[in-house]
Amino acid sequence: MPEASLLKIGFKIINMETIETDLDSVLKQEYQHGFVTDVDESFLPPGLTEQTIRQISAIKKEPEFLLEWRLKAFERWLTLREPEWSTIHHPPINYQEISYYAAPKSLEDGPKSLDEVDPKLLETYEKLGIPIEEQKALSGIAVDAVFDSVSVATTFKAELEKVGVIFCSFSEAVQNHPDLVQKYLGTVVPQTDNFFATLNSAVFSDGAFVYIPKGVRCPMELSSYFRINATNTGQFERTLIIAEEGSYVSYLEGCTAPQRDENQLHAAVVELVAMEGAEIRYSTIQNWYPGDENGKGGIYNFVTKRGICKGDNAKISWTQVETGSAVTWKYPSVILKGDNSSGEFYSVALTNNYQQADTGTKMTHIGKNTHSTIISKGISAGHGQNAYRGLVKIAKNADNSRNFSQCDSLLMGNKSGAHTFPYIEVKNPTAQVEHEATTSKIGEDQLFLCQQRGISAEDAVSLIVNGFCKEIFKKLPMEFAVEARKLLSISLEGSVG
Amino acid sequence: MMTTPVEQYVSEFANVKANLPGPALPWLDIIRKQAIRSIDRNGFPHRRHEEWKYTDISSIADTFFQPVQGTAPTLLWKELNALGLDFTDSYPMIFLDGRYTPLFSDSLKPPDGISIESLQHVLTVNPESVKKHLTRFSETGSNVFTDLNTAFMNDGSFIYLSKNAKMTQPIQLVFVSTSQKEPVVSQPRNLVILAEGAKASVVQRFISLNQNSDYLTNVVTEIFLDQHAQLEHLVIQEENFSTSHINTIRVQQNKQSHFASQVFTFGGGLTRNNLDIELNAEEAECSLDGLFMANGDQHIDNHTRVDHKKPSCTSRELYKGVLDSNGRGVFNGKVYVHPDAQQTKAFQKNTNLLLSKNAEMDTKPQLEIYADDVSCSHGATVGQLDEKAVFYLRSRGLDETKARDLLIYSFVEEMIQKVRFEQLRDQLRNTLNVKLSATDERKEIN
Repeated sequence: MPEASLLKIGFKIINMETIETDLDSVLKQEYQHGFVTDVDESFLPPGLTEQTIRQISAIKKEPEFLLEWRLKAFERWLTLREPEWSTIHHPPINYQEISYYAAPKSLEDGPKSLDEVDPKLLETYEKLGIPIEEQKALSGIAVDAVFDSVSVATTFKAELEKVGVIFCSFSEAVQNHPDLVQKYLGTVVPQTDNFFATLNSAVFSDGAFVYIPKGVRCPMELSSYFRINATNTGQFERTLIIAEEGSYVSYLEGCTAPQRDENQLHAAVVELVAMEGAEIRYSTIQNWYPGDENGKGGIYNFVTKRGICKGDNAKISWTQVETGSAVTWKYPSVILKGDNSSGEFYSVALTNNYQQADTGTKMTHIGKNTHSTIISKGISAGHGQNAYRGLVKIAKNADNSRNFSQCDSLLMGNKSGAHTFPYIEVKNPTAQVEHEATTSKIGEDQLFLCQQRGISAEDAVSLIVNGFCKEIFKKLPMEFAVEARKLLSISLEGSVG
Repeated sequence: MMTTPVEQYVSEFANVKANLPGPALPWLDIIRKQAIRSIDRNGFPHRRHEEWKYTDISSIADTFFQPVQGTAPTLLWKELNALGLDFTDSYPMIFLDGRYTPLFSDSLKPPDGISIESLQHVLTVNPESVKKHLTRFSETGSNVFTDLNTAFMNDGSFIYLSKNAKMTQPIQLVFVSTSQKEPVVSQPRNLVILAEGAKASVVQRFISLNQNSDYLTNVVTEIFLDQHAQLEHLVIQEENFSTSHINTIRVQQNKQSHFASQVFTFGGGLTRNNLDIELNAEEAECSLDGLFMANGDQHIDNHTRVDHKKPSCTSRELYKGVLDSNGRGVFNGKVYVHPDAQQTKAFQKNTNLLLSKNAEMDTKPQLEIYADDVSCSHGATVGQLDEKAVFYLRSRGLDETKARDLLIYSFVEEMIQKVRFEQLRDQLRNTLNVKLSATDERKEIN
């Protein structure tokens, strides 16, 4: 991929001179009253300086503490270097060429009807069985009253409010619940955590905020898809979910419909906090644009996701289906601090064409009788490279802790690669840790059997791969599972024959 | 100003260069100089290097160990006997601080087509015979300890089997370390070449003559197996707990050759075993077995790497660890399947017993696969003795310690049984018993 094409797509071309003069005057302004006024609030020109951060914060009318927090992260970020330890290779990213703020797009900017939408995208919608009105919504077309996601979401919101659940965008939370944000932000993924998390801490745009009060079982699956203003949460998403004592929540992120995004670099941070006896289930379907058959374009997805089981008997479960992005770099992790707490990680990662995935989990056992389960399925086709990288750490006082890990890889095509890098660190003599991994080619005999029964090669592959991933799909909420299955088949198109 | 150990090695090299074996050999001179330059440039690795993540070698890096030079003094029979070594049915070579001591030279002669010599002798008399292979498998700069060995290379063994030659008795290389006033490093260098169809067994044993001597053993072995050649290679390390030990073995295998390695680590304060295998032609096979037992403050690190470079090769690996007291174990096994190495079969397993609350095990089996028609798997476990089994044995009248020892014994016996030579199996069992009772005694004192 030529470097020049990288990360330049994100901003509108407008008269640079006027921006510069506008900006100059803004930049020269002293920081007053916490706000900077007279700025075009729709976007910021490329570049990252302390001023950029002050402006983001000002546009979003953030309280002082958050600005301070962002600035501290930025200061730290300047001292960091991009990590190089993964198996992922990509051209260098020029962080000064990125625009760090773009306001949610108004619907008027989008296409007027489905005729204006990329036919390839529509074809995929068709295969996924997405209703026509929903297709319009996904493509960013203003939808009529029959299918108004805004009103659907409003109904949901009312129901949630009844039980005291807070579910809103991160920016709203900053305005309406600053105390909660201040209390928990950065407590699971500290600002200093890693290059991309630190960058996110400095420039994060928006994301989701969920708070489940004590003893409440969230009455519905929360989905980022139905969030108001979810049209463009930006490339630096920040999610914070807090489950108070004895509560339960299941959160769904992403959707199966392919998402075209103009921003190439995504660096999200997700933090989960589970108090005593609370349970958080977090499911992700990631289907960002993976680039074309020749590996051109595609999203770079560098995500830091971590949950902490703060209290005893807490439970956090990550389920992910990763089929998109040119580069996926994410390790949803659990810190098992409370006694008897448990962490789970179920993952399907599929790489086709020139996609690269380096994903896995970290389970840190600190409390006694803590349990963790890791099931990871990697599928590599075409030139795809897929790596599982995980850490299971049993601290000295984590008596009777238990881990089971299984990582299987399926290979299709002799240019693909599958890698497994588990790290196991045990400091307690009562812990039991097991890891196993297998890597093999898709079964010729299975393919033969299917084809002999009249199933086409392509369908046979999809059948076998779905069987291989069945364990994970079972963990997804039902409607997600159905879509995930279809998604897998589509993502595998062209990988046989 | 204090000079760093690296600087001391560099200046020591300048001092002794002329006295090292083969000073008149230009090819060797170039290699040595490259090696010392590499040490100067790279220094010693620290824990931020991925390969040294779990092993802190600052105790080695911060000390200048005087490289042992010259020829060895004769070892007294009485001293040797005290070590209780059994050489029945084997071909022994004894090394004192890395230097060959010709104790048995008169009475022993290898069969035709086989030469077993000291490296110093070969470099003086017939350097051409080792020129093609010596240091050729060890890329300069890839490992500072190999470079250190190469730069100061003084003695070791050269084993050569010509086409179809077979050595039935094991060749036992016994490396004895004596105590010195200053910290020293003994650096034996071994080269084993098996021509087409040849077959041999080589045993490396490491022992300390004195219990509390502080020294570093930095041994490098290069092995080349031609078509159909078969080699069994054993390492038995029983040095004392105040020593540091780095053992690097690099193997290159040709078509249909077979390499079987067994590495037993009982001794040494800080041990790092590097075992790198390259399967360079079709249908080559290797099996790697290892047993490590750490107690006291021992730290034992086993690093293995198998490179599947050509199709239809097989590798199999099983390492077992027993960690007690403050013992710490590290296992890092990598299987790398290169593109086009189709029909690869690779299996890897590491199982560990963690027996004390101050012990630690860090394991990292890795698969890196760039071909699709493969069958690869790995597994790792860390656990403890089955309490039900302990209870069963105790209900039969065994005391707690005996019951536990018996279960540990049954865990490791599998590895001992893989050794083909009875006398060695017996010696290993003895060592095991001594080790287990030493741990038990320590526990009772506590």
